[in-house]
Amino acid sequence: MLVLTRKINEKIIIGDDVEIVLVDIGKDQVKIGINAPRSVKVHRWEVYEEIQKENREAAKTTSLDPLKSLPQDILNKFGKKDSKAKKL
Amino acid sequence: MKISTSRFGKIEIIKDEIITFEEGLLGFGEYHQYVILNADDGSPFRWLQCVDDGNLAFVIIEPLSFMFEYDIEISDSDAAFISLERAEDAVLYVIVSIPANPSDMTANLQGPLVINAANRKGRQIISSNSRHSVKVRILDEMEKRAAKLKEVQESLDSKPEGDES
Repeated sequence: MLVLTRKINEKIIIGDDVEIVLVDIGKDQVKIGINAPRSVKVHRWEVYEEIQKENREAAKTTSLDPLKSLPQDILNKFGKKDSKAKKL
Repeated sequence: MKISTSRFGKIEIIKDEIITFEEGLLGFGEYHQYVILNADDGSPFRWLQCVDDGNLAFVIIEPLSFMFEYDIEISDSDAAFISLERAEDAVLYVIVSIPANPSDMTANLQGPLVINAANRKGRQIISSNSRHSVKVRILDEMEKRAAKLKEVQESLDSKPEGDES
């Protein structure tokens, strides 16, 4: 891993068009500005991790049978299927 | 073609119905091909069954079957990734987790699936809306929706008769 030391307002460039600037330094956090083309996805790492974790959790569902124990009036409240999905 | 699945046994799928997630779902990057299977009649829940691995499947649902509204911004890069040109071709699903107590089932609103109906390419996108978390209780959202619908209905009912404006 490349580790660089930067001062406030100093920048890093990744590739030709991703620019990272150190905006502010607090006691235990730093504020980072990112200039990147719209085609580059920028997300907090935790968000990625959380969705991955949730996907793994969801993949454990093996049956819809537990839903049968829900009261019928709840089941009736689900909306009708969107016609859009019929395109698939 | 026939595939073997852990949940449904051997099933026949139609090749043209395969949906391709080029980069897979998050955490499942090695699996790219899926089909959507309907659950029981009238049920809003469906299965996103993986074709590459019959053991892998997710319960999915269209957010508007339990929410009053679900606003999501599909970024230019996400749209370009699935060659989405017309908004009306975008089909949106969210992944559902059903625990032992089904009342606690949740939907992942932060990582919805967008599928381009025109070419059957899909991507799991990341919502930038801070109100969209990965675990939203479906029954809570249904209650909120029922309250909203009631509100709308009441405001319609309270309009004076004959007022066409």
